[in-house]
Amino acid sequence: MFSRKILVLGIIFLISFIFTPITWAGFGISPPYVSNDSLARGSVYEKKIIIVRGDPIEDLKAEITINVPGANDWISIDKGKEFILPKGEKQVPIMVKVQVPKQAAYGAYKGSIRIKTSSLEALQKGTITIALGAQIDVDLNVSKQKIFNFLVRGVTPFDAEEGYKKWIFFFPTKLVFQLRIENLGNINCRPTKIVLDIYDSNKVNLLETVEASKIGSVKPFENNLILANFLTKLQPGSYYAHYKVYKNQEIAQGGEGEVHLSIMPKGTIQGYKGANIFDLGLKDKVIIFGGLELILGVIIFGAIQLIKKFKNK
Amino acid sequence: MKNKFVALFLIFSIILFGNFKHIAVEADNATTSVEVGNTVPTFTSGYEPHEDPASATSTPTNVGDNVTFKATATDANGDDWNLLICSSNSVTGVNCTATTFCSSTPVTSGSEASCSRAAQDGDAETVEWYGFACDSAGCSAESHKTDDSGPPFHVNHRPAFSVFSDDSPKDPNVSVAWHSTSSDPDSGGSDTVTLYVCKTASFSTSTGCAGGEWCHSDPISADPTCATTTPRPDGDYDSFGYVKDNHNFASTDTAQGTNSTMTVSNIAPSITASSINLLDTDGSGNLTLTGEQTETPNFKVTFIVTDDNSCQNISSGNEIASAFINVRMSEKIQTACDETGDYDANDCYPDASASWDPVCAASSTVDSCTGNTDTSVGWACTFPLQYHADPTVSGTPASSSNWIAAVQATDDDSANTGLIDSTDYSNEMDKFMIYDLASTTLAYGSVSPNDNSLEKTTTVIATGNVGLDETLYGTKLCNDYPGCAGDDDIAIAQQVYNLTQGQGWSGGIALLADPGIEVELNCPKTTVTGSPASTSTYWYLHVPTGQAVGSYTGLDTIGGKVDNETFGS
Repeated sequence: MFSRKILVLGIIFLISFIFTPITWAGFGISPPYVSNDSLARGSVYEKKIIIVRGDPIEDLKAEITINVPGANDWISIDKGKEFILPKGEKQVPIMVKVQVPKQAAYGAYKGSIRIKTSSLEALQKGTITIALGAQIDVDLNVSKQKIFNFLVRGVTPFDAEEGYKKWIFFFPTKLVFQLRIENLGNINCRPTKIVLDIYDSNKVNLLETVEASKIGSVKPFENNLILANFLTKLQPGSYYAHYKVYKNQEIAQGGEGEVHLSIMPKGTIQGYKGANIFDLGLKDKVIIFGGLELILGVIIFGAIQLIKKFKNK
Repeated sequence: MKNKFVALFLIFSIILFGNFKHIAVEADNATTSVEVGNTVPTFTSGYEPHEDPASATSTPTNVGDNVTFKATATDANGDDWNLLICSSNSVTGVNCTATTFCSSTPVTSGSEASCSRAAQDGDAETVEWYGFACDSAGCSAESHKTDDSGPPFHVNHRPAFSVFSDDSPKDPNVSVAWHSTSSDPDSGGSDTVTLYVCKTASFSTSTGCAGGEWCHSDPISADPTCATTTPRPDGDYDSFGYVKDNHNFASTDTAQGTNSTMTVSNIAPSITASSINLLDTDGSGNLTLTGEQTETPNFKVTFIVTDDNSCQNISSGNEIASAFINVRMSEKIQTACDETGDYDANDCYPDASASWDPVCAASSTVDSCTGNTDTSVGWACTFPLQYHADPTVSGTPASSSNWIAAVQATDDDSANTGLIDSTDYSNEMDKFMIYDLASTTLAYGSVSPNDNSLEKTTTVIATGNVGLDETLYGTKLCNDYPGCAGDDDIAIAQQVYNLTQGQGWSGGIALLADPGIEVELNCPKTTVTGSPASTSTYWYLHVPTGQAVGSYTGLDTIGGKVDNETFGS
């Protein structure tokens, strides 16, 4: 019985040995390219590349070689051209920075950035060791044009509270939308305008059309969140907004869609920051700032009179 | 009764004393006699019988409450007197001929007497009364004040209330009404009834609903109704009906305080496609794989669920109970990636598959639920993708496609949104170039001078989502590596490689020094999770004639790169 068990285990062992893929080292990069076709002279473009190791059982030395004819000097790595890939770290991000000189020639720059690894230990004598490496494809283009181009990668409205009246002033409902914008151009970008068509909860009746009163901006080549503010007279309730994010006269890619709006009664949302005096209507602003100017004038006048009196004495 | 005895005692005393005196003075004096007559009391002017407080049209006496009558009278004999209130203008002796409403206790002459009588259900709305001042011998003529405090007194009866109902079930945030069959039996004072609908079974005619009010009607002559806007959370809401009249007199009929449950219907939730975002692990940019021959976790789908029943249910829990996602490459239509059998790690991840385990939960960072008036709530699902999920960025075979998420949310009543595809904020899958080697050494073994080694193999295994080429270069082999100071090194070109097996040393391509050369390995992209694609390179070493005996060491480099030409096909 005992010897039969050993035989069975032996067979299982042999099969496992034969069919289990034996892998020793995994090495790669994600993503394996640096690409930008709208660089401007003097612009800076950064791309994160993650170096991935399958089984980081030891420290490895990484050496970077940049081979992009005409642009080698523009390209740098945040970690330098030699650095350690630490033991135990499966992912090591590096930032490839492309800093285009102001005198750079317009045109395409193609090449590669190679990463080569080597062990810090001495090679095993009498063997040819295989080192691992990877190639980042580089494809750049320096353009004469100032390129204003962006993608809308997400639109999210925040819950808002209804407007309210204080004294004689009406503080409107302040809607705040968060937009994720990927700036594909080589200049700061801000959507030309953002328009909301606000419908009732049945999506039947158009209640208001409002345009953003304030829109954030994104630096060249960055993918960031911006905020856009809208002022409305919506009462508490449930609404739908059809939004249009404009790039010049056209709607930007990803810049049109429909979102749900929830307007809450005043005081419902903890920490909510509604409209302030700068969001008031023109008439109200004139009243407030006119009043302030008047008070200030009276104070200054009084002060001048006091100074005169004091001097006369 | 006590007064009567006193009176009789006095009469007998007078008679007896009189007889005695008569006997005693019989011989000396002439006989004289006098009889003092009784005079009935008379009401003091201005203090005739009246109600206090006045029971008038505008201030009637509720059934059960007392009408109090008061008056002041004097008796010429100085006798005590009592106030007698009758239903008719007639007394017999010192009693009412008809019904006695009330009779006061005797009071001394000139004092105020009062008596009370409770208003009764059987009373007419107005009841005439008649006031008399009586002593032991008789009563005065009827008298009363002629202002509001004079007759009749006014009786306020409880309102009738027989039916209480509502017109639910209703959708959330719409008008719901409660109806009553109720009226006031009185009419003299433009009587009205008002319906109160309370959230709890607690009501006071003076302060209204104690535990919150749904609504109350305007005062109306009969059948008042009232309406309010339904709350958003679906379910049954207690609604207790109470009716009172315009004199704050509540009904006690069977419908009073009954519960007509208001039912708010459940509405299926919905998701707008524009709210669905398919996100990378860091929340921005393309989907980026980083797990070598394994899953990359923590990709994310965020979306906003809208529900007219609000984000909160009637128990203040979450209205949206669950959600799931299917993630796929857009080449596939929605229905081609929604069942367990559709799972394909290259391009389709349906929730139904046991091979894939996304986790979804409500997310306040996506959109917080601020209470039962907030009709939207954010959800986020995290999920893994396999290392060979097809790339869709520029320069890949599927660059005309992208990756999209289909999302479905279900509320606590099992109503769901249906599967909604992401549209504007789908995403691209980036390239993930990574490889394994089956062996990290080339062991040529023992080779004689002027001889070739046996064929050796290096195998590149595609453990990412792209097909691979390789860049090859090496160093010379030396027996004092890495110094290589001697003159007996083996040149780099003595190593040759070939992509076809069995070509021998002479059929190989000589290895170069760094930067070497790109070899069109064309290792296919892996398509089966457990069986990564691989391609081998075959190596030979030729040891030149006269090479010194020794143990030689060297370093060859295999650099992986994306097969941009054929994508590994």
